[in-house]
Amino acid sequence: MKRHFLALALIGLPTLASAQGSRAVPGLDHITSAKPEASEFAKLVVPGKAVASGVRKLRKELDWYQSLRDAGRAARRQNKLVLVIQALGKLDGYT
Amino acid sequence: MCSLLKSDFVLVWRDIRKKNYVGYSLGYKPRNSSVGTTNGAGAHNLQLFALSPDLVVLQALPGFWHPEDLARELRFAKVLGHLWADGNRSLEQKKDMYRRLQLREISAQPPATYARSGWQGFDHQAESARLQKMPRDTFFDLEKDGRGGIKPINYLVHERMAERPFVRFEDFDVANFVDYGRLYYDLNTRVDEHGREFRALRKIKRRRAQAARREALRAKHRRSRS
Repeated sequence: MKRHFLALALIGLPTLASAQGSRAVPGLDHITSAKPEASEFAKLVVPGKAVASGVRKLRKELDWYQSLRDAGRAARRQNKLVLVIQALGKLDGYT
Repeated sequence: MCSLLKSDFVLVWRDIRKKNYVGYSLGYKPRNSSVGTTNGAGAHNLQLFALSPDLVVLQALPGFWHPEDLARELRFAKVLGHLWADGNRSLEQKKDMYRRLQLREISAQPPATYARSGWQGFDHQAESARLQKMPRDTFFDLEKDGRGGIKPINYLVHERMAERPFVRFEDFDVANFVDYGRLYYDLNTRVDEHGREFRALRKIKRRRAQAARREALRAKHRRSRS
């Protein structure tokens, strides 16, 4: 299953040389249609209560590890990856 | 997003207030409002790293990301994780494939991601000012890329990651990876109460100011000697 998944991801992969050269970027060339929605999102204000509720949910429903090594071991056991969030401050404190 | 995180990742939170690459952000509590922004804003103060279980960086994201774009990047990290775990390829083959996947992802990302990956005005200004003094990878090269102007953040991230195939987390050069834009701005002013300054940042600010003064003096002496 894993190998099949990887093979699908590699279909149509350009050679490195052509990838670095004239690289078509369809997403960038057709950006105009998507701009209004992006602009609305950038103006979004989420009230403090909703933010606090979201943080509580994250703390409660997800497993957080202090130690990178422990997280790596847990990831290996559970067949998962590790997601490290580095931020200025604490998840439930000032950030 | 929560279900993706729960099913596919174990999480680590790290406080980087004492790191040299942090910006001068004010601190806000969870009960303060949060505001929408663009992908990659706040790169100096927030980074996300998807790692393999043996702590190799599969994908790194600077700053804040729209949930849809973050989910896409995390799923992309899973693909890279399968590549890393593939026992039938040599390290060199894996690295080559990693680079190609990162560059291919640039072409594959949808217009919505590009629309959400514009620059904050002050970050754009800071980069334009730096471009006057030195070459910057944050701008397109008209001859090489066939277009000019500043690169969208998602484009820049995948290019920078293509240069960092399967680096161990402990060796990852975060400071260079997040090197763009301004060290300080505050999007939350005029929304609700002002934040609080991080004490640890005052020392870092002082050290940086002292280093900048020393460098300015050295430059002045060099000019007077020549």
